[in-house]
Amino acid sequence: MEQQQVLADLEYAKTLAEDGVKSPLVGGRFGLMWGVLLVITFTVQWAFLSGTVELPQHYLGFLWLGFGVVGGIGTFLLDRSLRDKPGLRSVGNRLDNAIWLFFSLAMAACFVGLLVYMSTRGADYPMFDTMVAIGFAGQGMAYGTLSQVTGQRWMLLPATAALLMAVVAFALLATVVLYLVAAIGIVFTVVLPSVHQLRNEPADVS
Amino acid sequence: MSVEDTPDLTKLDDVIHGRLRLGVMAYLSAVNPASFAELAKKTATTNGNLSTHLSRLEKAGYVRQEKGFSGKRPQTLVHMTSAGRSAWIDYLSTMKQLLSNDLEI
Repeated sequence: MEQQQVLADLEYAKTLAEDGVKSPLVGGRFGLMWGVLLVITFTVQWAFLSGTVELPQHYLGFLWLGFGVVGGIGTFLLDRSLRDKPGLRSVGNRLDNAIWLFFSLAMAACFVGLLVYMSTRGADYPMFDTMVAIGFAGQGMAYGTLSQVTGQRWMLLPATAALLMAVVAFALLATVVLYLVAAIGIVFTVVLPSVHQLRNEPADVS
Repeated sequence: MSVEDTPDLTKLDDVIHGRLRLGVMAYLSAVNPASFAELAKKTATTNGNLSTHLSRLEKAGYVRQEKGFSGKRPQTLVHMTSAGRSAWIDYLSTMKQLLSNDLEI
């Protein structure tokens, strides 16, 4: 009888451990915010470069500065809304947090490197376009890694889409249409996956 | 099954070997730290009952409770300590051994 009780208790513990391991990822709100910001920024950049909208050239700098500032403030505010999410500190969510943090730092490092290049060796805008391709490649790596570790196989879809977009972005380097294509790509590689994550988030506990 | 083949349950760590504490340790093995509210919800127990069992785990050094705030609301985070993780692994090893012996009958 006692052994049966032990087995029942172990089953209970197994259920709880699995529940923790399979905690849904709760970073969807960050992805959605950054995704929407990127779609807007890429579209405005395309409109500017294509002549659809006529603005002084230095406005592009303000555009990307605004992207960074709004994104940074948004991340800070959204982070505060996450504190009561169950599973927030599961292995999957800690990896999700770390992988996107270092993705952002990697992109920032590339951005600073390009700024140094452009200021010391002259403006070369096609070089700047490589940021788009590198960003998509990084997204593919991030989603692929998360899929492997968390077992969420659906993430292989945005991972594949992002890697394909990296190929497309390299193929379109130094063309104006790159930014319009990138804006559309972001909808499929960031916005829609983030909406899917948000819909699967557990309710708060407090 | 003869009497000598019956698993010796006295070898098990008594601090962990209780249904609720087992559940808490199992959940913390995957989500660490977890908030008190999260643990109460996952284990479907009352705050008072959970508090009693957490105190026992804390006294053994297996968990650490950290009181703080989530925004303006108080929040207690429960951490599994490294001693707790070792004890959890030992517990699972002992349990596996006991149940394996039983299956060899």
